Amino acid sequence: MSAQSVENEVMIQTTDVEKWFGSLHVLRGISVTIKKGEVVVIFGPSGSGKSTFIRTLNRLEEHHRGEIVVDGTVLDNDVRAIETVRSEIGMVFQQFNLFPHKTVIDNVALAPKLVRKLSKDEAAKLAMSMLELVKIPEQAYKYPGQLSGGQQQRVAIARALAMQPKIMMFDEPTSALDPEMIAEVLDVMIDLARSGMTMIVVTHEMGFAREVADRLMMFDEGLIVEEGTPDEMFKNPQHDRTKEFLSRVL
Amino acid sequence: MAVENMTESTTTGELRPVEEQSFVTWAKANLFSPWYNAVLTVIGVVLILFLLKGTIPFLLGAQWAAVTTNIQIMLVGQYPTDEIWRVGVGVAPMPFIAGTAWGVWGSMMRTFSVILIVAAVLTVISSLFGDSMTPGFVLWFAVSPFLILLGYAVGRRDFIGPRHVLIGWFLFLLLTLFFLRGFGEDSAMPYVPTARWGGLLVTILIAQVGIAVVLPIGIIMALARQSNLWFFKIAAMAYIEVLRATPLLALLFLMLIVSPMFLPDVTTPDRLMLAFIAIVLNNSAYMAENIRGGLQSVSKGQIEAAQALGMRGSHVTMVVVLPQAIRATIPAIVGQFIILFKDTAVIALVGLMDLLGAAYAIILGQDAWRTADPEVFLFVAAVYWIFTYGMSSVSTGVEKRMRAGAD
Repeated sequence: MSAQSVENEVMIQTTDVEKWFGSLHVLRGISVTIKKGEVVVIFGPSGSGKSTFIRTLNRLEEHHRGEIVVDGTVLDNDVRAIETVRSEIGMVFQQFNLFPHKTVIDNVALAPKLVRKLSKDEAAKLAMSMLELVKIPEQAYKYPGQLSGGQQQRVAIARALAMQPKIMMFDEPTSALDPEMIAEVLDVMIDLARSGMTMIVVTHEMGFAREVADRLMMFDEGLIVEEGTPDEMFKNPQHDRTKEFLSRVL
Repeated sequence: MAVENMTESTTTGELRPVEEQSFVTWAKANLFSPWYNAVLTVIGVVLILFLLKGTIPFLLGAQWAAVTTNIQIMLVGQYPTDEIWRVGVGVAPMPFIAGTAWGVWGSMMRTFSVILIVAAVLTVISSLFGDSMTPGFVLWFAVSPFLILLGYAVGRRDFIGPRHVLIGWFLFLLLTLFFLRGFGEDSAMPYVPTARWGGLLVTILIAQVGIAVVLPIGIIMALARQSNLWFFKIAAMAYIEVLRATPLLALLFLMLIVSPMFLPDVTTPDRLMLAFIAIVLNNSAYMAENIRGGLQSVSKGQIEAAQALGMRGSHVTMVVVLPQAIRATIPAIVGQFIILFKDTAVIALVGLMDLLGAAYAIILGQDAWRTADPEVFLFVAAVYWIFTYGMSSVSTGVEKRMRAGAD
């Protein structure tokens, strides 16, 4: 297999995805194709459906119309398919959501043990190497509550990576952090992007987007109003909503 | 108090000596000013004197012999005297397990163990002032503190964890029950029907087996009530709501008087077992509601994080949600255990001989002790207090640990 064909392998394909919360039409037809190794940054005003959209990709939210295919698996009500997709997509949340009753290393080792059926030792070893990757192996035996927000978010990244996912999704990973802790999390994410990981990142950190994103998408009212490379989007936005939004966050 | 008066921390955190106060100035400042404190002080003193007026003559003339001569009934009821050694051997693992729990959980269990040791030592000392206790009993109470300390030493070892203590406790309980019940007529341990078990032994057995059974039932009912499967949901709701709406005493009468009418004639229902079931049914319904509260306190983000990692639904519940729910509800769970322990006393009302039942039997059954009811009931109250205080100290310890600890 040539490098070219690897580059073109489609990881996620969505076609006209629609979703309602009651009578609220939150996704109004989203079609995206994300290829292996691509880093996609999604931004837009709150309530634009960007978080809801990425949550439909691992079925934390159900979509009502359209089709979602993740690495060849069609997402529907089949529980097996859902679990397969979830184990291939790592997800990092705004609120970290670490398990407070487990130590840092147990947080990271838990899913490899339960889902990938690794032995206790293998899982611990894997977990430790993931903690080294996010540069906090020394916190392994503490509890999440004893760590700073930035450290917790890095553990959350290690926890997702320990499942050796093909895709990593980040849902506003720095929004709950104090300003001085944002950089340590973004640094880890930048390293990850440069290592060739396929990433979908909902964020307003435009510095991050400029540095590593292949593609930017502007969401508004349940639609993608504009997409393009960072250069195109920052220097020459076409849509009025994009211009207005970027002028506020840049 | 004395230490507080010696020094007083200032706003800068350094300590400065406080000038010596005479009792009179202290009393003036703290007891008699402003004027309403003076009124409260006077009322308080009058109340104390009023209480002492009754208490002191009672204590001077108390017939503690009512308790000491009947100590065997208080402890084991009408268990055959020849077989009492089986109680001693069968119950011996209990102080040992309490000790291992102390060793494993540390400070949280310390007060409980210390209380048990002190109670045992006091019992041995009091036996020196009369010959009413058989040497066997004295020996048991003399040995039990050492069993606690031995358990502690074992519990301190690294390879002994909470799991071992819980499993050990469960197995020992079964063993104890077998030992007490015995086997055939001709065996070395002849059958002793539960009708002859009694006293503190029964109170403690019902409480312990109850605790061991009520928590799992409560967890299952709480999970079933939250289930998406309508059958489980309805069944759990019916169980919880019906039993919570029934007074324990009514349930007890229902079990002991009504239920035998529906049982086939060949079986003679074990009255103690029926009473035990009533207590378990009642307490498990409350336990289920405590745990359901804990389940609801676990945030949605926790469930989503576990799901996003690809975990199965059963793993999400058992590994992520339930442990956090139980942690959050430990004070309520221990509170329910204390209630269960005290609830065991109601079985005295249907003629069973638990600790309280034994007290009734002593006072009503023997003319000599008919007027000794204050002594007997005071003793019973003190025994209940020892155990409930021990349990609530565990609860306080858990809360302290949770506040200081990780979460």
